[in-house]
Amino acid sequence: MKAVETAIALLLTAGLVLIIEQATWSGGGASLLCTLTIWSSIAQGALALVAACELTRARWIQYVRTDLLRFTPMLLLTALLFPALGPSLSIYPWSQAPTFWLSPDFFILRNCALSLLCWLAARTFALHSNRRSAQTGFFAVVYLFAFILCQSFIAFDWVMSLDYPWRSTLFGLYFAIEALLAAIALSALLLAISRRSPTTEPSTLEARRDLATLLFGFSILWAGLFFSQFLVIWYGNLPEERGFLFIRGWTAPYQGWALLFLAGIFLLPFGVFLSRRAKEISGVVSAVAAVVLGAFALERWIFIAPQVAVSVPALLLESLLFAALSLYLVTADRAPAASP
Amino acid sequence: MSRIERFRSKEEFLDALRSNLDEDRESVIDILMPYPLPEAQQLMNPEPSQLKVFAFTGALCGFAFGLFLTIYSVLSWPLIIGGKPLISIPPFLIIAYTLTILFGALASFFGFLWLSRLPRIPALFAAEQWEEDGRFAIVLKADEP
Repeated sequence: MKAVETAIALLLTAGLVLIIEQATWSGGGASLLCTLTIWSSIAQGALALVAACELTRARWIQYVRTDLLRFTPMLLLTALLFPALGPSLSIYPWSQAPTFWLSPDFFILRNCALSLLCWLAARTFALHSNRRSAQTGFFAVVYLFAFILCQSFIAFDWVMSLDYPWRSTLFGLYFAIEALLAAIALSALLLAISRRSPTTEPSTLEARRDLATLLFGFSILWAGLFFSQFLVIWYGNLPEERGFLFIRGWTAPYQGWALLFLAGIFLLPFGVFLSRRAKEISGVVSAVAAVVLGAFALERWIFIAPQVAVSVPALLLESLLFAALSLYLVTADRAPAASP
Repeated sequence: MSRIERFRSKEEFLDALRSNLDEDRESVIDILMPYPLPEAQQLMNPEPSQLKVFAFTGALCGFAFGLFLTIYSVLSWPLIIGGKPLISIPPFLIIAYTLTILFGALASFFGFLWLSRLPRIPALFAAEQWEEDGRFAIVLKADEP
């Protein structure tokens, strides 16, 4: 019965997203691409964080493990929605002169197959993790491989090919780290809304401190990767490379937004979590986590919007639908074993 | 005047230390251990360590020195490279970042020595004899006669 309810929720979300995409003001696929880029990274990152914590035997994850595993069905939703981009592939510059790799049919086929593979790996891992089976570690490794592969394809295929022929070999790793950062921020929010009792409160405090420290560390790692990419392009100053940065970093209106996401993902967590006390206050950790998630979404929009016209109302509506689905998946009292 | 209480086991030592500190914090002058016990150190000094002040100050100084060093160098030896401005902050950040870590680490190390009142040369020789004994001890203020 719970599986049926989840399936209905997924179909309802998919249907509503497709209705929005049919509207004339939706921007012809660009907003769907942006939504999928944001939410597939969050969902995949959530599962990857649990997998990494299973392998490292992190104790803090016990408070949010079940909630994060409940994002598994969202991976199926993103896989099912991806073919809807098919009629809108003209947003990609390579669609005018397709090659073997960058051809519309192969593009849709490989990305759908990979997303389904990632969902299958995630589902198997979630089943074993919930049963506390001895093979959880093995399936965690399998899922992490699928995660890295999928994030690389999201980075290279979905986003980087919008700026074809611009290329960066760092983009895949950058997306994977960013997905993990978003998942850590999501965990901090989930920890804040999780049920707590006076007996578990002291350990929740430790978990919150650990999460804040992880957020601090990953924001520095993110900044390191961002700077590595920025410095090489800035120093080389090659015409075919600098366009990507120039449009986003030195041209209105993206310049202001770019500074905002830089502040949201790096400066704010870095500045706030230097203080040990700030890491212990639930409100502060949750607020910083929310800003990091918002800045992450903003960055994804900045990656896509300069190349194709993204309808902001459509993007916001679709993101709201995904957020509502996330809330449903997390609050519905069921195990991922029953997921479709 | 002082007196010394000796213990063979770690548990007895920690229990005695806890009760002595609960009774009168000032009565415990020092503790002597054949090997470091973090629990005992935490009991003796529950206040958060001031080491972070050294690390933060060192890191800030390192960052400032890194920027100063790079800017001073290019101004002393002005060479335009790749058409970039003489004072180009992005590449300077690498030197500043590296020196932030170096100065932060060195300040933490020396701060640790300072806060631990190290090195204590006489204690090095005393410890040698103490290890042979292999017991824990609490040095307490002796009662007034």
